[in-house]
Amino acid sequence: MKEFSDETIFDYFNGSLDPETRRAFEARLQSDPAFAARIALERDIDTALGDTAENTFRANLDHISQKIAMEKGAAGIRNRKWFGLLGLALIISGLVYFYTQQLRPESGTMPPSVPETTQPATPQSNQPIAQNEPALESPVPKNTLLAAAYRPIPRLEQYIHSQVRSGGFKIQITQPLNDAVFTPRNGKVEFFLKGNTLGEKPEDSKFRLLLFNNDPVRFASMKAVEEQALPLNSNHSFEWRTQLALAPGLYYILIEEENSGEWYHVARFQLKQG
Amino acid sequence: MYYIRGILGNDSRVLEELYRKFLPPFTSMLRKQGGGNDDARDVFQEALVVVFHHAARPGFQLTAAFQAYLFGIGKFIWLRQRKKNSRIEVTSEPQAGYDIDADLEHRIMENEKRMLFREKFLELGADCRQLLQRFFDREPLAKIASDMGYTDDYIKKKNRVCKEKLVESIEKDRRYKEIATVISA
Repeated sequence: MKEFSDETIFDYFNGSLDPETRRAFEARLQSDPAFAARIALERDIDTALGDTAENTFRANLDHISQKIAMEKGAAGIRNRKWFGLLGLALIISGLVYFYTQQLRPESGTMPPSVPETTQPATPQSNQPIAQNEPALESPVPKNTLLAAAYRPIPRLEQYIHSQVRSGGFKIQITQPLNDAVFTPRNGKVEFFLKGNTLGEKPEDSKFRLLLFNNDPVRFASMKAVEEQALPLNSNHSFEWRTQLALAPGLYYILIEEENSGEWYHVARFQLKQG
Repeated sequence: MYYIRGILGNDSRVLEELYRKFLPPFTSMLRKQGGGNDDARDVFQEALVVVFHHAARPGFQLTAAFQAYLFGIGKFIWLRQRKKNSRIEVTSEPQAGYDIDADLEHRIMENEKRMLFREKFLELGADCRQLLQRFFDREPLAKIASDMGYTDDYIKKKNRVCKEKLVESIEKDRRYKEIATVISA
């Protein structure tokens, strides 16, 4: 039975076989059930993993699930903090009581004075609670370069989990997912951005992609580390592929409309040392 | 049909509403079936993906409350997962008040098969994943070859090598045999 080369099998799936080879290939499919089953499985895999609609839907579900999980996590940390402080206060009170009981004199002498315990400060009710805090590592001392490289920009953080809608039009990024982490190799990262739009695009609008590091001064001047026009394909998708030569740290993806400067999508990613 | 339309339209606002409204009671339901919070979140997402495909077919009609429909699918998915580790028999009997008909069961099994494909895909090396993903995304061969600095023929060969690895790892997994048997029955 004729064996087909890798190139031939590839061309079959690509739809670029010449008619004669195609007839021979299809004859093999008819006469060899094992070969036919193998080719059918490959086609099934291509269909499943290339299902753009499902992939986009899943990416959106991941995004929403992470957002809600982060909100619950932040609330849980605040609750745990208060329970921890309460427990500490009870322990200290118990120790003080025990100590004073042990020192109670049997005759008329006074026990040595016991230092006052200091209760943990009760925060003010109007103390701002951080919203949309990134799911980064435990806090490190503020004066270290490492902490500075991952400190978020509050204004961009506010937009992370919201997208601007203009008459129902919005932009989705399906790759990379928000909070993706990249590890540079030889100082570079293969960066592939992909997404699509939903709804009717505002007339004459053009979009621009900007990548910012977390330097608030550069951001305030809108000085991006990478900047690129983002044309839309006829199927409402877009993509951009490049090699990034950037230092480890926190970065933001911003897609804005060129003429109005309106932001349509904000996301973040990190570069970490391997 | 509000939630169905939101799912089919991939409407973030409706999907977020779905998560906030239905995930907590879904989690409670799954806990009673031996599941944890992470299981509930994963199964909830898979149930939504099943709805995404099932409700898209022509002539779809929702014949029960949306919650019953979604929870019925989710419970069926969960019980199938548990079945693999125990002797629980999973049938098409009404789950959480919703009758899983043959068509819906087929859809759930198709989703399970796709999940297996994804799992095996993610187990490939980074270079194979990156290359295959570009083909799945319908990028032209010439562009891929040019970006990677190789000839077209080399990329075709590399594609085949990576695809063979993926196919073999799927075929070796006994879950694939079981799913394929059920789907073809």
